[in-house]
Amino acid sequence: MAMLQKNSTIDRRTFIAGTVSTGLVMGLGAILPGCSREEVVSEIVSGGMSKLFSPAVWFEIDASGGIQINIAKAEMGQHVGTALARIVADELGADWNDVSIKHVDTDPKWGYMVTGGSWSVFTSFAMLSNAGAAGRTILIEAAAKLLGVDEGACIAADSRISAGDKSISYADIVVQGDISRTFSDEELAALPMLPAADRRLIGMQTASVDIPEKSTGTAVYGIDATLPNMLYAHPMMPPTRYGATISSIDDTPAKDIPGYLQTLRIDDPSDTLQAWAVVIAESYPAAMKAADAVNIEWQAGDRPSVRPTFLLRAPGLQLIVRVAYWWLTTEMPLQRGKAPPIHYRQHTEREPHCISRSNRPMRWSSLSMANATFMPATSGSR
Amino acid sequence: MIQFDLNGKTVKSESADDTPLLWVIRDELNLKGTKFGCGIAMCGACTIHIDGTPARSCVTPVSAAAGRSLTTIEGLESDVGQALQAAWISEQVPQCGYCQSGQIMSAAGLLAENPNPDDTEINAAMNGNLCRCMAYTRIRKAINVAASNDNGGEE
Repeated sequence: MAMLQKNSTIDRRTFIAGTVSTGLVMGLGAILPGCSREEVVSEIVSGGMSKLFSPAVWFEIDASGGIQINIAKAEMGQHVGTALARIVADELGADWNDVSIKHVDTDPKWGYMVTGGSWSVFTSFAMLSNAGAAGRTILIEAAAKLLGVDEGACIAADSRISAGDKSISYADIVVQGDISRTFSDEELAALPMLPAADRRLIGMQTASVDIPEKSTGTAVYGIDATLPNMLYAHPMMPPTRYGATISSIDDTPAKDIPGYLQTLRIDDPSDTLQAWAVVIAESYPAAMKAADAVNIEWQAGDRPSVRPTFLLRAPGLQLIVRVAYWWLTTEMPLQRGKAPPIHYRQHTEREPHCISRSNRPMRWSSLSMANATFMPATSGSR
Repeated sequence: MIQFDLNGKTVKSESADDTPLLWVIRDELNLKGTKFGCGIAMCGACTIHIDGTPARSCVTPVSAAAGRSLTTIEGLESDVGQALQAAWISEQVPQCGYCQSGQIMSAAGLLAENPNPDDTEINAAMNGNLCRCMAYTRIRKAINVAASNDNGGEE
C-alpha cells in the first residue's frame, strides 16, 4: 500500500498513526536506518511492527471507541495518569468516559521515567498536546472523507467529528477509515492547538480514571507483580550510613527457617548503599523471619564522631551556617504567631518498593528503599 | 494442611501453621487486593474479615483461620460493602490507593455493626487504618455517604 523508499539516516522523532486489527494506534519512535516512514506505516498496518519500528505508542482507539492512553510516569497517589491523559484527551476531543490509562513497562523507549520534582506535567505537556492534536487531525481527515465534507468544517468533541448536521463517532472512523499517516517534528509543531478557553478537561474537575480499581482491590502495585522463580530479599542496613562496613555475617540461626536461601553483601559500585546486606528467601514471610534471625555486625565509619563544631570549621559550611543564622534571626520572627499554612505530606507511596536484578528477580520487603532502583508503583507488567 | 472459607469458597493452605494469613492469602491463594504495610498490625493495610469481624492478617497465623469464614476486598459483596465501594468512587477517596482495601474492610466492619455512626464513632473505628496520602477526610465523608445511602439518604 505504501511507496517504499530507502532513507539512510535515523528519523529520530516521527509521529506515526495507523489502523491495525485492534483499532488505531498512534505513537512516536525512532525509525531504523534504511526504512522509510511509509514502510513503517505499512509494517504497523500488517501487524509486524517490531521489525522496523518499536514505537512508544501513546494512545490507541479501539473499534468500540475506547481510548487507551499509555502512561510512562510512576503513580504515587498524585494521579499522574489522569493528569497526563487529560492533556491528550482535551486535544483529541475525547469523551472522558471513553478514556482509560495503562501504566507501561520499563522499556527504555519510553524515555526518562523517573517521576518526581513536580515535573511530569510540564515536561510532558507539549509532547502530549502535540500527540492529541495529531490524533484529532488524523480523525478529522478520515471523517471528512467518510462524511463527504470539508476538513475545515469539522469539529472534534465528545469522541465525535461533526460538520453541520453530519457526525461520526471515533469508533466508526476507526472501523471504517483506512488510516496510515506520519508527522515529522516540524509538522507536529505546526499543528493547531486547542485555545485554552476551549479546554473541557484541563483545569476542570475530572474524575480520576484509576479510582474504581483502587477501590476494589484490583489495582496492580509493585508488590503485586510476580515473575517466574521470583525470590524475596529483605535489606539489612547499617545503623550509621556513611563509611560503615560489615564486620561479620552469621546466618546460622536462619539456616533452619524453611525457604531461607542466603545472605548477600551488596556491592554497590555507586557507593550509595554502603554496608548493606540482603537476606534472600523463597517467600516474603521467610525472608522477613530470616532477617530477624541473621546476625550482622557493622563497623561504623568516622561520620558518627562528627560534631557541629567540626562543621563550623569548614569554610563552605560556615557560609551556610551564616545564611541559616541570618534567616533564623531576620525572617523567622515574621513567621511567628502564624499557623503553618499547609500540612506537610510525605512524598512517596505507602507500598514497599521493589527491584529486579541479577539472574532471578527479587523483591525488597522493606518500606524504606528510597535510594534503590525502583519500578513504577502501578506497573502494568505483572 | 489448614482449611477455611475464603470469600465463600472452601480453600486449603499448605503453609506452616505460623505463616501470617496475609501471605497465604496473597501469595499462596493469589488474592493480591489485601496489602502488606507494616507487618506488625500498626497500619491496617492488611485488614480482612474473620467471621465478619475486621482482623489484621499480617499478624494472624494461618492456623487461626482453620474452620473460619474469611472475607477479603475481592469478596466484599454485602450491601454495606457495595455501598462503601460506590461511595469511595463517587467521593474520589483514593490517591495512591495502597491502604484503601484495608480502609474499606474496616469501614465495612463498622457499618455492619453500627449502620449510622457519627463522626466520632467513625474516627474511633478507623483509628487503626493509616493513610499516607492523608485521604482521611474523604474516607470519613465516603463512610457517611455510604451509611446514609444505606439508610434512605440521611447524612
